[in-house]
Amino acid sequence: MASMDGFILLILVMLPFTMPGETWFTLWGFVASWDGLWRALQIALKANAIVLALLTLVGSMEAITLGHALHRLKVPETLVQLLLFTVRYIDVLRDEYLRSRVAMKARGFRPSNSIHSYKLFGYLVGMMLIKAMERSERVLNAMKCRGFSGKWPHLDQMRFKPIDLLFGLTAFALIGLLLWVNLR
Amino acid sequence: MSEALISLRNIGFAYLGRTATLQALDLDLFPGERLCVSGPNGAGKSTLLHIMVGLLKPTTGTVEAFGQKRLGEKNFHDVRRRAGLVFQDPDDQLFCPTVQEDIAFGPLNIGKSKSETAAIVEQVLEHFGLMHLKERITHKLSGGEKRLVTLAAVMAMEPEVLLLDEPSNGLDEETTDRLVEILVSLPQSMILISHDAHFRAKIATRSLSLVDGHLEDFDPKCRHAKP
Repeated sequence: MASMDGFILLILVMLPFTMPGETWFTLWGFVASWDGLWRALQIALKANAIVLALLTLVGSMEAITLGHALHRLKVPETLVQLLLFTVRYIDVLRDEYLRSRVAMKARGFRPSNSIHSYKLFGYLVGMMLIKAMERSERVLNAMKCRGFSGKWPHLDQMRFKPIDLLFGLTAFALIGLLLWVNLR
Repeated sequence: MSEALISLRNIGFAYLGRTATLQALDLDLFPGERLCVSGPNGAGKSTLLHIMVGLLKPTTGTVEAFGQKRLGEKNFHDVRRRAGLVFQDPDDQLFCPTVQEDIAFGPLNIGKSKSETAAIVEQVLEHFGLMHLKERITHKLSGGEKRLVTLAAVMAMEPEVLLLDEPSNGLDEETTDRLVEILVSLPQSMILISHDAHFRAKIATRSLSLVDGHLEDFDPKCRHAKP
């Protein structure tokens, strides 16, 4: 949540100055408006509410279950595969990165604000990209060896159960209620 | 002698911008053989296995597998199913999120139904004593578990030949012993690449070494390494 708030902070700070409306205060000749302040608060609350809802619904789930669920919900195959490969290989890449960092440390490297440091980090990133690319080629080879020809097969074991229907209906009812309260 | 399962004739191969890795290489694998190949680092041992299943295209020579000359990508689809390649790094091979999906990947690709595949997964895991790993997430397995699961995933396609690229790499003694036990009990012919002389001695029915781009009869330098 903090990362998202950091992301939108700039927009929130700028809003009172860019929205026309009743004057709140002036800073170096720029006018901040009350309307802008309300709008900024609204955005901040909405964004945080969305992230909280997402965390409780999706965050408690294995990423892999999420991938399979998205596949069942007919999300494009490529996007689902991208998610699942990311889940599968992010740790492998992280380990590679950490191993390289330890190797650098073992030979006396201490990061500092110098050309030498930046150059070495450049090497590190470049090396990781090359390694990742080579790995992707080996993975494709391994897939080909097991009969892969472009279409990903699924061993699907998810079933739509009565409890899912109940959850769905309750959720829709609650959302409907909220809409009704808002629009009344 | 009965007819060879896989025959390589006069194979030559060079990686771009390097001198030839393989030169005038001949190899025959006969039914029932467990053929071990050793050789210095970078001698082209992995390259050899990749050529056999058509992942790399040799610059000269011919690949004959299961009684047919193989040329071009299409021709090799059938070879890849019948000759199961176990890769050097299990992380390359276990690309599916969970163990059961990884094992199911091959059978589903060769057109087995979901229920048939589920039965194959059960059977293979049972056979290797890995049933407890079925629902596990592949990147969280230990090195030994990863190795055994890659072997199970290849066996699920019911190959006639196994091609193993340094299967004992990075395994502890106990897991290595278990792997030896499994491999010796399998009816499949196999080609194994290994640097581990003890491992080779326990498994091989024939040994070759890859030197200067071609295969020679194995000539041990260490007294532990029986040919």
